[in-house]
Amino acid sequence: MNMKGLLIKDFKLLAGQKQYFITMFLIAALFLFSGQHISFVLTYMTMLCVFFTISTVSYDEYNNGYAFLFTLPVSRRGYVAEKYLFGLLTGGIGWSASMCMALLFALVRNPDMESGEWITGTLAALITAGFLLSFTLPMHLKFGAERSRIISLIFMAAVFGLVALAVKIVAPRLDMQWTKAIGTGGWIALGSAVYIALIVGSVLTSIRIVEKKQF
Amino acid sequence: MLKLTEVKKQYGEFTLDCSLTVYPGRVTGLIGRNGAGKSTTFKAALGLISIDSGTIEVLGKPQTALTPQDKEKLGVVLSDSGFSEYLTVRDVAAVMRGMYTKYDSTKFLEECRRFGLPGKKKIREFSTGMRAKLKLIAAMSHDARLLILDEPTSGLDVVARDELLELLQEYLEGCDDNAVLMSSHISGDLEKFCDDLYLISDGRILLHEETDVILSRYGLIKADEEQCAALDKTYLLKKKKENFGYGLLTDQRQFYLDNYPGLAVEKGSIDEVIRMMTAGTDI
Repeated sequence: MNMKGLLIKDFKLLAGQKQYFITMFLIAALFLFSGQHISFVLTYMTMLCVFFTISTVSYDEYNNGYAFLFTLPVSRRGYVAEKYLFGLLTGGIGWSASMCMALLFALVRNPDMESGEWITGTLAALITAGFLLSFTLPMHLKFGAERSRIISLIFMAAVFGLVALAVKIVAPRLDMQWTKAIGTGGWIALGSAVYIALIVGSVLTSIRIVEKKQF
Repeated sequence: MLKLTEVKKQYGEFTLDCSLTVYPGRVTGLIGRNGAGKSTTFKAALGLISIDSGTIEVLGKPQTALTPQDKEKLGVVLSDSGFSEYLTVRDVAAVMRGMYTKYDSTKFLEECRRFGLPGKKKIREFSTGMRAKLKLIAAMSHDARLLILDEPTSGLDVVARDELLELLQEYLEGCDDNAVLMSSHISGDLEKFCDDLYLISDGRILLHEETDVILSRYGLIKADEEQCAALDKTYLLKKKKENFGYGLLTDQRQFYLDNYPGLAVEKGSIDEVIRMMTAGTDI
């Protein structure tokens, strides 16, 4: 019941941004028909929908709004759960809309599109959206809109720096035979496990952040 | 309904040290100057801030154990927070419908119309008074048992304030067991509504008294140095140096009227009690 109220609130806020969504949709269509790869359009649409989930946190915190929000029949845990669910729903809507658009495009312009391209596009969109939501939602809850943007940039730069360091300097000196032994299936399983762990970790971190918040 | 026992919270230099009880069927007022600790007390009662020590019981349960279902029985107005400004009244109605099992949408929208709140306009376009009306109407729209109202009439003109207080009166008449904790900087609102009053200053409760008792028994004595020295101090609570001599607060006005003919003894008012209790010194 209570999560339903929060979802209604966020969808009402989303409805207030309908012009933004229409523009976004038109741009995606333009990308698709101007020859952009389907995975780009799918990722673009899904990501923008996830960004909107993040922006609802800003709406909630604006003008000390959290204080009143948590006097309503909402638990802090429930609030966090709703944000992830809303992210899933909006991401799902964005993904479905762009998928329909891509199908239409395939029928009209490119009936021979390979199934591999569809799978790559779909996976790229889902993975990017999941990573984006898992990373930015706790950051936004912890630091707010302004500070989280700066901290996110620093964090991303640090992660890329470490990855580059690992690939360029550390990896060539190690025996990397085991990476071949794992095989494609193993990599998919490992990737899925890391992905799930990341999402679970993100949810738990967000709950901890919101439960500690003082209003 | 609500019980705060020795609740302590440290905020830098400021310390809240507060005990208060709100009983069923009663309207309890929390009065004090700006920064006295009223909003901190409300936030502690609502679990919006953690406390350093003490206990808080809401509807017979520890505050920390309240479930969303329990919170449905609370109606809250906060002076510095409300629904997202990007929502409309109609949106708020839909959100409330999704949150409360006993929410009366028809009544809510009717009251909004009665108080001139447009359904399709975003809240950010509302005046301060319109926002205050919306907050109070929403708090009373879901059959709450306990209303916690922090400055509910703030920003309202006299007419709108009277209308809203009328609405609050209707709510109170609706059920004998409902209770209200409210703060206001307008003493007239509290005089009219509250059964008892807590006076808070610098985070501490200085006085707890029945409103009728304050109005009927309390008094302000205006005395010069000589009169002051001759007075029986038994029923004097506070003293304050004034240009005419001393202002003295008593909780037994009649005693001084009977025993000191000719002494200037004025009827007690909530404003005077606040002024004397916070700015006066002990006898």
